Amino acid sequence: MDAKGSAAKLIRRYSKRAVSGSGQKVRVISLEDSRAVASRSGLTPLQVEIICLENGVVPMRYLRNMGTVGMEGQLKLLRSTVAVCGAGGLGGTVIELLARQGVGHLVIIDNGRFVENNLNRQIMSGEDVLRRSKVKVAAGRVGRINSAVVVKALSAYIDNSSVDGLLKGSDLVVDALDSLATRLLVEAACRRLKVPFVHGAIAGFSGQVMTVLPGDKGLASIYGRGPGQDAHGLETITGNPPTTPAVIAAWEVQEVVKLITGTGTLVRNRLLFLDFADGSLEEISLL
Amino acid sequence: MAAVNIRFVGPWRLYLGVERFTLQADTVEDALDQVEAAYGPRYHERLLKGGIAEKRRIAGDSNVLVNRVHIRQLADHSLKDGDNLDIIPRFVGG
Repeated sequence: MDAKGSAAKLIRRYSKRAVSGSGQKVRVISLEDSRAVASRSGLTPLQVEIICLENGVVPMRYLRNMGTVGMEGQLKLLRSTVAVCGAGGLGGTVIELLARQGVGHLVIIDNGRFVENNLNRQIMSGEDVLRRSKVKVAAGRVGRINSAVVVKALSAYIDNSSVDGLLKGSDLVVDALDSLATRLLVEAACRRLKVPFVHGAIAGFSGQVMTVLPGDKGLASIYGRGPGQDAHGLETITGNPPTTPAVIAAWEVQEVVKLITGTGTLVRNRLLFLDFADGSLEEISLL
Repeated sequence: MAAVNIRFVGPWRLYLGVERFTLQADTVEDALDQVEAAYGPRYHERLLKGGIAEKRRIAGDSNVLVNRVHIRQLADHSLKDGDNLDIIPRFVGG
């Protein structure tokens, strides 16, 4: 019997009955047993989780995901690769949520290190990791949250010469950047690579979200054309408090989940504009 | 002169104390100059309260759409009756 077959046999032996959050009866496997299967079969934790779901067994950590994405959706998530450009305010929360959601492969790109003024909002930052590489800290945190997730931590600068190489192989890309010029570069690369681009940006108590598929007008419809123009926005006045990046990042991750699992309606060709001070959510059609 | 509908989006409403109004203008530039003349002082006041002495234009910190199209993508900046001009604060923070 091959490794996959023996893993499936072990998974069936270890699995137990449980009830999902939506009341559905399912078979589950604990983290401890899943690790034992990986150890005995020589497979990676991610491979084991995929085999579990292929055999109708839910890794316990995903039990509360079943009511929204189901086993098929969770399988698609585990088989996906998502690139996160930026591991700061938006990126930290995006990475955290993607790991908890169970996206199998994360590519984290940022060339920065944590500094004190990150502590108010960047969820990966902490007093103990000041001056450390953001991507290395993020990779470590993902490992503690979900050791099945395979992380590629790239401490790299995104520019014209590097962008395609950094993003190649990813199924979709999340914008957690703080520069318009770099956003436009990444969006253009996503068009070339024919992958979706999930945009988010924040300033003060406000933020915006939009998903761009290859062929959509995309960021040009919000910012106009011309990389390098208008390098900064209102955030140079308002700063960024703790809450705004958390909310916008969560919405971006929801777009990722919808893209991968094929559920729901994408925020596409329209800009969602949230203002928490005003308590308002506006939709600006871009068609 | 065309009657143009102006809409401030998001924090502009809190900063400037107005959401929608109509003005008479022939071109986008004319409309934005009028917006600056009418509401620019409130923006500067807000900036000064935040310790920012730098003079900034509302349009300079915004993405401006005419009938859902960014003004940089418009070949013709002339306006006609009923045109909708959205002034959206520009964010690039992450």
